[in-house]
Amino acid sequence: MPRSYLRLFQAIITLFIICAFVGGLIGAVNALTADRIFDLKLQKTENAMRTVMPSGNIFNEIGDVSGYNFDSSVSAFYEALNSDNTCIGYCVEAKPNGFASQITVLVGLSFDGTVQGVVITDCNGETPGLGNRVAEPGFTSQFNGKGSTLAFSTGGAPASNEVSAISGATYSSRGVYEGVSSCIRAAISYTSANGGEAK
Amino acid sequence: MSKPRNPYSFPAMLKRGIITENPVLVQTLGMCPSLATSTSVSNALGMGLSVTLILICSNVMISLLRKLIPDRIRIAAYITLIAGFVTAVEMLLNAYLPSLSESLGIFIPLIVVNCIILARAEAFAAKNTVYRSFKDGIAVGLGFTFALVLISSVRELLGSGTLLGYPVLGASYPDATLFLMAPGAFLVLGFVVAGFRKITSKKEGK
Repeated sequence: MPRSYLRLFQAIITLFIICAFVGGLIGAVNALTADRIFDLKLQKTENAMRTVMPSGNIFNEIGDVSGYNFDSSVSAFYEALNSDNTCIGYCVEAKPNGFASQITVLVGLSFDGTVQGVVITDCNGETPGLGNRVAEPGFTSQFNGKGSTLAFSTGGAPASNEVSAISGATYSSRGVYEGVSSCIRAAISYTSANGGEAK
Repeated sequence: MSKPRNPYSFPAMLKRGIITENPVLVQTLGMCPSLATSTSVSNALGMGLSVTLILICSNVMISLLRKLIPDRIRIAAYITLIAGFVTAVEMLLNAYLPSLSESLGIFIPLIVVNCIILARAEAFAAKNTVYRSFKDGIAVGLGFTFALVLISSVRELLGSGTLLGYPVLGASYPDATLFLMAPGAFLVLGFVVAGFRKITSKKEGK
């Protein structure tokens, strides 16, 4: 066999062994951490849902929402059940575009689309100190009690149906506003599709 | 590396990694993560220590394999190993320090292309024994961490008025958000490097 083939063969074997080793390492670490990562994510979503829907006890995700004509930013829809197993409203997650990234908002809603609470579960891609302040309760609590007439204001005193943007963070604020609006519309269309006051 | 007395003793290597040949402040390597992850001291510590851990692993592994890896494919081999370690560290952070991994975000996977790690692999681990490479990983990793902590303390103090999350400047301090953003990062980096050079060059009597 010519020398050049030998060297090629050696290179292939070495890379193969390295890849096998790295694959084994990642597999082992994955086996060690996968369950924990999954649990943490689940717990985080559940904690967020309890914040926006305090009397909720069990949250059932509605897997197939293709029939409800939701906005494309709506990423998950849950029915919230209280301790007597009666449905008391919805938790809806949406991922609207902010300034530099997608913001994840979770909204607790009653059947008629009135906002019970808003939590920002992810705004790490937004500007520190400006855009990521949309996660502060001072901003998110403005949405509470608002419904289908929700509107957005960038200056002056907000009307009773308006939320005002954080100054210097208009894009991020508008992103959250649009996300919450999508959630409100989703709640209303879900209720009407299921014939009024749920089950 | 032209120190007269045993240049590979651990204290000498530490001094080089942290002070005289600091990867960020002297060699200006790894600028992207240094600018991006130095918004707070806790981010900087998390990033610095993650890089240190990966650097130690990759240095040891590459030094172990240095005679087996054919020259022509060495970069491919190094990158594969480094990517493997980074992925492992990313999973561990996700599982055990979720809030940190969330705030560092994309910069953890990006350690794969961190030039400090590849530079140490190519310039040191590929030519030195395993034990020396291990010490080099610690020294250079701590040098990187030290630089990040230095930059981030200035940025966190001026930008949020806190240090490691504890309020230092009081509630009346108006946060200078500029320092948390990219322009502030460049400004602080420039001044920290200048100050560091000033102090170290005085010590060397230049």
